[in-house]
Formats: sequence, C-alpha cells, structure tokens
Amino acid sequence: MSEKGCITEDNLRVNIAGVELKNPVMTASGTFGSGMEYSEFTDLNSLGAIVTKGVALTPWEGNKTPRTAEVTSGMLNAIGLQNPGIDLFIKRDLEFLKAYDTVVIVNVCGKTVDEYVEVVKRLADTRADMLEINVSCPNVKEGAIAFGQNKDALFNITEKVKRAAKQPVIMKLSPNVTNIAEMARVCEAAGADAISLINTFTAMKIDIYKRKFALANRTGGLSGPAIKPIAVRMVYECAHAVKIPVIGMGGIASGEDAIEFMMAGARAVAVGMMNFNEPFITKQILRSMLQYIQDYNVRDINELVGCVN
Amino acid sequence: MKREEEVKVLSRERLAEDVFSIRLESSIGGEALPGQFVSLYTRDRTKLLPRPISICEGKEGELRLVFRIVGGGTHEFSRLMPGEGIRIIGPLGNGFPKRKGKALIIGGGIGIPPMLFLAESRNKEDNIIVTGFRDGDTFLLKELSENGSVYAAIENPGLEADEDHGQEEKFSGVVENESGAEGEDSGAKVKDPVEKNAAGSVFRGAEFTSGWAKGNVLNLIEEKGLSAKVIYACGPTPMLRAIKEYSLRNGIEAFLSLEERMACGIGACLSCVCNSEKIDDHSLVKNKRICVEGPVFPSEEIIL
Repeated sequence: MSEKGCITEDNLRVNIAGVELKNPVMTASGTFGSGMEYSEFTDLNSLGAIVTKGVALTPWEGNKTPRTAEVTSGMLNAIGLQNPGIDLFIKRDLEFLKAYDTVVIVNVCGKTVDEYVEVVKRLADTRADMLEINVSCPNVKEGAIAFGQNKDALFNITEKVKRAAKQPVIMKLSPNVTNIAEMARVCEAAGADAISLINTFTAMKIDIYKRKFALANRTGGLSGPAIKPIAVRMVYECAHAVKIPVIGMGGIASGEDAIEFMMAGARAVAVGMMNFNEPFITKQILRSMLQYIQDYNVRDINELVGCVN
Repeated sequence: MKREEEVKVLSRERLAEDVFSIRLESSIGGEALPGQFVSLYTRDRTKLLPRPISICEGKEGELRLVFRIVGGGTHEFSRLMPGEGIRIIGPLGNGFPKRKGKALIIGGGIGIPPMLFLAESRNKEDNIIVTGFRDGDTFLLKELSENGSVYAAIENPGLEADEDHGQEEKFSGVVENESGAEGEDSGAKVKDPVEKNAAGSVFRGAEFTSGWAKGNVLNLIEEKGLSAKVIYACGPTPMLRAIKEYSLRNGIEAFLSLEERMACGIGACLSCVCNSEKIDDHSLVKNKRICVEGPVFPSEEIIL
C-alpha cells in the first residue's frame, strides 16, 4: 500500500520495436498535421509520439470539397491524402519537430510500391524515429487501401519497404477486410516491426434535404467514438494473431478508452478524431491514465497489455 | 493568440425566423479582428465537431455571434439562456485587410453578421453597406444603418419594386389580414412571416435603408450606380462568384470571405480547402485552408 505513492508518469513508459516512448499516447495520422497547429494548445513534449500526416513523394492535391461530414458520435473524412510532398515535409515539418522531445512517426503513402520505397529512403537520416506505412486510406483511387485489402500486395509492399527502411516499420491496417488478423499475420511474416489499427471504415452520408451526398467523394472514412467497439475487437484479434507490437486506435476519447485498448492487446494507442473536439484531449487522457495506475497500483503500464484474454 | 475558453452567455435574441444573436462574455472579443470566426462546441456528445461561426461584433470582454439554425448544433446554441456556459475556440482565421476610403460592404443572408463588425471598424461615412435577403424577413438593418448607408436587395419581397424607393416613400402593397380580405393595388401578397411595420414598409427595417430593390445585390449595385475603392463581401458562393467577376471587370480591389465544411478549425486536418489560382506556399498545391489562410481572400487569388 505504501508503494502507491511512488507511481508517476515514469510508470507510463513503453517500448515499441526498440523505440522508447515516454507514454503510450500518440496522435493519429491526419488529425494532427505535423503538430504545428496543435502546438499552440497542447505541449507536444508531453506526447508519447506524434504520427504525422501521410506524406508522398510529390505534392498531392487531395479530393474535392466537402471533405468532411459529421455523423452521430463520429465523422466521415475524404481528404484524399493532400500533402506537400517529401521535400518540403523534411525541410519544414521535420525541422519543426526537432525542437520537441517526443517520438516522431512519419506516415508514408504512395500510389506504387516504388513511391513508398523512395519516400522511406529519403526519410533515412532524418528526425523520423519510426515509419507508419499507409496501406489503408480508403479515399484514394491508387495505393493505400489497395495494398491493405490484398494479402499478396500487402506482403510485397511490407517486404520491400522493410528492406529499404532505416527506422522500424509499422504497417497501418484497414478494417475494411474480411479478416484483419490474417492481414496482421501477413505483415508479420513479411518482416513488419509493428502494426497499427484501425484506419477508418468506408462509409457514407446522404443529406436528405439537399438530396445529395454529404461528401464530394461520395464515400469517406468513418472515425470517432462510433467505431471504438469494433476497433477494440480487431485489436484483440490481431494482438492474439501476431507477436509484434500492436498500436491500437479508433475513437479513443478518454484515458479509460486508452486502457481498454491496452487491455485488449495494444502496447500503445493513438488519438485521432477527438483532437477536433478538444485540442487538449491528449493531456486529459494522460492525466486519467496516470490516475488509473495510481488508483489500482499498476507499477508498470505494460502489465495491462493484453491482460484481458 | 487563439485559445479555448468556457464562456458565459450574456444575452440572447431572436432576430428573424431562424436567425439568433447571442452575446458571450469572452476575452476573445477584445482581440478579434473583423472577418475572424470562432469554433463553438455543443454539449451533445454525439455531435463532436466544432461549429465555426463568424464574429458579428467583438469588443473588450464581449463577443457577439449571429447565426442561422441549420442543424442540431446551431439549434442547441439558439436555446442557450443567459448565465449558461459554452466552450469556444478563437479567434480563428484571418481578418479583412484594412483599406482607406469608400468601401462597398456586401453581405448576403447569413453572410451579413461579420460585415457589421467590419463596418464598425471603419469610418461610417466611407461605408456603403449592401445587404441581400431571400425575403422580407431581414435582420441587423438598424445596427448596420448606424455604421454606414444601407441598401437591401430582396429576392422575393412580395411585390414588384417601383422605380425609386426611398425611406420617405410609402410602399404600396397588399397584406393579407386575418380575415383574408385584401387591400388596394396590385393584388400581390407580402410573404409571411414578415409583419408590416409602423412605416408601412414591406420588409422589416426598410426604414433604415437608403434604398432597396427586388433581386440580388449585384442588381441593386448596378441599378443604384453604387461604387467604391474596395469591395468586401461575404455570402453564398454564387453571390461571391458574381462579385468577383464584377470587381475584376471594373478593376476594383475585392476581398471575399469564404466558407467550407470544417473539422479541426485550426489548420491541421485539411478539410476546409478552397481552390487557388496559384500554388500555395504551405500546401504546394492549388489549395488554401479557409480556416488559416482565410476565410478572407483577395478575389483574384481564389477560384469559386
């Protein structure tokens, strides 16, 4: 009982594929830019990691607007991976992140395997601590989810990226598949250092008064609290299918949600859509996670990983 | 500096059928520039995204927002009572660039409220304020008239506009009274829910205008021969498109305030882009973020 007083933020440290994170809380790709905008609100140094917006070899324009629509307890997005391309990203975004004491995970996208490989090579000697490979965005016509929905394509791209990468490689999985655990096994077999899931569900909203699709792209990816129960189930399934670490995400809105994902098998978690509802959400999540481990005498957060099975 | 605040509602007022005004006790008021907006959050945990609303008036310690009810979120805001709290982020976006001399300040529909803030920040003698409404259910005309000369373009006023309408003139028209009896003249009916006001005018606030016309704002500008050194405009995209074309044709500098569906509201998510003529420095594509690079843009910079 007297040991309770010793539990601090230090007890939140985790390790993903050899990289030390001060805590298990990351920000999800696409929801946080490269941190510049949110740095006016939340202290980037307090984050376990920042996962940056998907970057491609060249600038991509993205989809026509409207690109987002609110739905019950969530939102649809069809941004379409607009990004300024790897050159400006390294020069501006990674340069900005040099000033911060947090793990930087760069999300990589492309239309072809060669494009992914080239971006990964360019990131070799940069601020990037890890790479997250986007094989799951449902809002582009080429690349991304096209890889994530096909076992052979997924194996091939994982293997090629892993061969070219200097940093540890995380494959970000799509839930728009029949068997996500099978995809997890494919990534592990191909040499991935970790997997992250879930990306968004392909979904749709119709405005009944305008009699139009809410999104110009017609479909978009669903995220937010609405998807959390499915995400938890998928994290559980994948964590029991592979030995490599699982990063869990999908509607996390609180420290309790984060711990739920960890108990399902996630070694770390990412917070996405809820940043839009509360710019300080990561601070609030860390606070309540710390309270949980203090209240329940959890000396090391890693004790909770996969503890419900 | 943008910040998040939990603020108190000071007062609320219904201005038109589905248009409401609320005053908030907020430090953002003293820092806000005309053209900027704030993000408002609902208490409803199933509606998670912020609602961006233009600032209608900002002064030390106080923000005024005027908005239309377009969904569940704005409906919730219209129900807030004085003393109740609401969470907001702001001030967001850029403001209208300052220009000396005469300005045409054009607001269409719910694009009108931010133009009051703009008008208040300038010399009233230099403000020619042109408002556009779908029908006679108007709002803010009195306050606007205290900040410049005001004109109103009404698409469906309920009667044919005569050649010259001014404040002094009586408007002829027919109002269907409770018994269903009709009065004099053409037989045209004034649209509900407008009440015929004391001056006998056909739209609310007509007595505050220097002139009005049936049709859209461009019809009125051309009809009355209104002109200025600079144009500021906010309203529906077709209106902005017409004003952009008008300003280019006449060589008048114009600043347009745009809107688009937003998610984060602070520039991180890339939801709210507009198309630009040239490649943008931040995005390296022909897209600009309405919440950061905008919402105000020089008209020649953007494609509508």
